[in-house]
Amino acid sequence: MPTIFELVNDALGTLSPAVPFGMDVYIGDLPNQFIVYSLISGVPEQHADNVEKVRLYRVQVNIMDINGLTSLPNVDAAMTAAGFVKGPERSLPKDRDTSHYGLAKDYFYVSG
Amino acid sequence: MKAHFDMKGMAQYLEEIQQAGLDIDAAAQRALLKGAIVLHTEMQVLVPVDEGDLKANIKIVGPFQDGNFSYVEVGLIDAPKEIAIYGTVQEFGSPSKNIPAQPYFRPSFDRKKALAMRAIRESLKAEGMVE
Repeated sequence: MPTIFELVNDALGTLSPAVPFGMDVYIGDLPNQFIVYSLISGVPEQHADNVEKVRLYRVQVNIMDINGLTSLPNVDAAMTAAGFVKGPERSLPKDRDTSHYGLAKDYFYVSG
Repeated sequence: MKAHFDMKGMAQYLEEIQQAGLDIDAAAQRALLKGAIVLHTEMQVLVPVDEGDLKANIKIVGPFQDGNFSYVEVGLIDAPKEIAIYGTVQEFGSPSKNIPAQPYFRPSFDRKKALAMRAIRESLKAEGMVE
């Protein structure tokens, strides 16, 4: 069973054209477009005989782009193909220093 | 064969209905507060603390009533602008500034929503509103 991090890595790795991405922070010079993902929560939802059976993960994927948010990589398709369910999303304030716009998208994954 | 209607006791019945309505609203608001306390407590645990300003501004406001709709608010309610911005950055991160997310709001709901619902249900049960 792959970890939640492997699942997200694999999903974002299928983006075409490829988009550079990192976990929590992006290391190095910031590209015009990049992705950062974070694990927000991983909560046990069901137990049986004192054994965890189902866990619900919430993952946040931030898509950053200096050209705005009108033409973004199809992260939804990549994540849903990997078994994630789309959650809420919100735009992030434009960074005045780097000029990046940002979109924070939540995805849920049920394991077990 | 005849039918008989009278209004005997109707005034008292209507009065009881009205009183029950008041009781239900008050009980619902007390129950909502119990649920809010669960979420607020978890946010206080998870919130990143530097100088404590963000933690101090996570509040429970209410309960309120709008017609038959009762609600309570938990979170950064009417916080100063700089605290609200700081709280948002902590929750969602700022990738272009290399600031990772340190979420406290969403995980609180994810982790404690069932407990909050149970607190609400038990409060209503204790007041005889549900079985």
